[in-house]
Amino acid sequence: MKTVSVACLVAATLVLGHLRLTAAETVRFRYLASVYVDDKEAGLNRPEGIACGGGGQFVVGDTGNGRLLRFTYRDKTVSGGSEIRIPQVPAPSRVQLNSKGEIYVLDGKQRRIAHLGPDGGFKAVLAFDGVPPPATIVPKSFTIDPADNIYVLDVFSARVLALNAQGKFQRALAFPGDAGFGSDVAVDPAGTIFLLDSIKRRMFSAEKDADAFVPLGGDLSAWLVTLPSYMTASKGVVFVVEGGGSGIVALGRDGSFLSRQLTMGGEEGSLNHPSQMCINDKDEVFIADRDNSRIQVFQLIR
Amino acid sequence: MGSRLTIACVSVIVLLGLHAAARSQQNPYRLKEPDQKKACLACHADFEQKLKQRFVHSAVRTGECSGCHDPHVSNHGKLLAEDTSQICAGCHGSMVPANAKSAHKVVADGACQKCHDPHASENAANLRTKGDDLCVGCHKELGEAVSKARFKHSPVERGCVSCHDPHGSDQSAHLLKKGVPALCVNCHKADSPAFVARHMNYPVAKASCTSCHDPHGSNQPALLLNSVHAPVANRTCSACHEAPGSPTPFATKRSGYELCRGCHADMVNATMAKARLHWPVADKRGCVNCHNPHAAKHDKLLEKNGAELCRGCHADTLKRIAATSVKHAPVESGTCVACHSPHGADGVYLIDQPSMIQLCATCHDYAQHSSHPVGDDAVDPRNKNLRVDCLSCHKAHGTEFKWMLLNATNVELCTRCHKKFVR
Repeated sequence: MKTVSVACLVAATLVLGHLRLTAAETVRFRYLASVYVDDKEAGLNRPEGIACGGGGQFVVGDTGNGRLLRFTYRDKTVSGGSEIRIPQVPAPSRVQLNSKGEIYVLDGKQRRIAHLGPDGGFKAVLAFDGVPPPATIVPKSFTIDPADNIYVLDVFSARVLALNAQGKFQRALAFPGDAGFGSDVAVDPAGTIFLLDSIKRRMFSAEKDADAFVPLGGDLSAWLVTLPSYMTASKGVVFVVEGGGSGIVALGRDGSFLSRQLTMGGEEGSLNHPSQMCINDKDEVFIADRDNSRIQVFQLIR
Repeated sequence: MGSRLTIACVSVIVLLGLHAAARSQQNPYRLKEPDQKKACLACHADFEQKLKQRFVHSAVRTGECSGCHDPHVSNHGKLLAEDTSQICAGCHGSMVPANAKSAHKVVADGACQKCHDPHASENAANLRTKGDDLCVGCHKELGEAVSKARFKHSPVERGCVSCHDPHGSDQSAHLLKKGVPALCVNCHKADSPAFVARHMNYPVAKASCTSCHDPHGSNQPALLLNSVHAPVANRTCSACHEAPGSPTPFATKRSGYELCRGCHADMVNATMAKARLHWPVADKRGCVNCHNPHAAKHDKLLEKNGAELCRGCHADTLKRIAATSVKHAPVESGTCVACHSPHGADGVYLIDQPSMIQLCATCHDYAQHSSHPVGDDAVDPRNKNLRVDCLSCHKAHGTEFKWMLLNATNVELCTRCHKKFVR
């Protein structure tokens, strides 16, 4: 009897261990909601930017309408939708929120990053204080870490610029010499910076305080079928958005493939040329579903 | 004693010979015609003429037809003892050098017979045709360009093999016997005063000659590539590069598009004012991602023509297009720029028209095409934020259905939106 009990215990441990391992390797999205209109029932127009904040807040870069929209997702319900329209940002293409709820937005037309207060009031344009030459900086993307440091992908000089919360230069990380085209940058809570090479379908990473990127994993072309353009990191998983493929590819922190989620379509739960995505502290995923002119919300199941 | 031994030896040899002759007579598989060559030619009489040609493959000349062909059965065409891609290597080994930097594809594929006649030819090395005629048989476009070029390069006139190894090269790309500029400076003395003066004192002996010159011939003096950047034509290299005597003479005075803005300010400023950039324009290389800053074969100093240029980054899109059976005409002709602005645009997909309908209207007259509502007032019933436009029914690059429609039948197409009619 004792032998049987021990055997059962061992078997249960093995099975549970296997299930846990499988769960860790699996990342899935479950559809929750879609957002089509603002608080005045005006429709979204090709939104490209989205940022997640605390308390279910999310801010949308409603690019085609040249404005930002602020919503809250709570108890499976989307509310709000108030408009932030500022002349300094005519084409908001990427949005990030810092720990204080301040809004940073990349203007696609002027290619500069505007800093707004939590209320949406314009504060300043990121000045890149102390950044080494050349003076020309072309920010394609940027991200903010939990300590409010800002990481800007400067394609003109093929580098990632790390700035502190006040926008002062901290360090620069050059793209690896054999990189194809640096398309996006992400940072995880540990301070690891990730660089997405969209042309050669590769990832690079730089640990906190490292002075150079190193390859992360190998060739991802089997998983990234079309040009990947956006990326975000959350709890040990890097999510890469394939605009043309209208899917999200989840990669492990070591660059290994975990899963591919969502497909192209107009139905709710499908995507058509998605752009930025963000994930909040409740593992709720918000995707700017650009060519469907809407925001879609999913529950991330790990 | 000696003579007895001699007689004995002769006797043994005679006896052995008689024995062998008897064995041969008894061998049921012996050739009727002991001479293998004659045996084959008894049937393959048309080969008589072939063998009279000037250069005959040694195996054929010695009558060893069975060196390549199995006279009885084979799994390969023409009763070859091995696959055509393998059989030559049996005697000739690999003709591609070890550690080759480039290999002629036909050689790498083992298609030796595309250039060589395996039996006989009037041309040395059993080549099927003489000299460069053989090369331009495949490289037609290059052959035409060479023949039409106003200014010829003398090594080309002497023959392609002046510079290229037709099998493979362990020295350089493009089957070149040496890399560039090492190959060029074999003939062109880079330290001669005339050479130095013509290159404005820049130390070009270490540069890539082919970034300006077409080694196959050109309509431009000095064999410059047909499309020449004005500062090169005017020999004002220092407009872009540091002074020839500086430690870094080839370094550019500014980076990326900032350098080009110096002369092309209108174009660069207009591009930078667009809401969406073609990102290579703004990266570290900038304009030279697509344009050669010195000279190029194609108009507008483009490195490659049409879709081939776009393929460098958008290979996945072109692969999907290749899989469609009905393609949009500009796509089929590789004219991506018919719809997409290559520098930047205000619209998505780098489309520089206010709407997709207006883009299509630059070629198509919708009023002559359909009466279905489209445009700002035609709300897509599936999503009120979308409007019905050309792409509601058609796919811009192509599909497997007629007129590039999204579905095979009208019923399937129409009920995408008009769902109440779904049966």
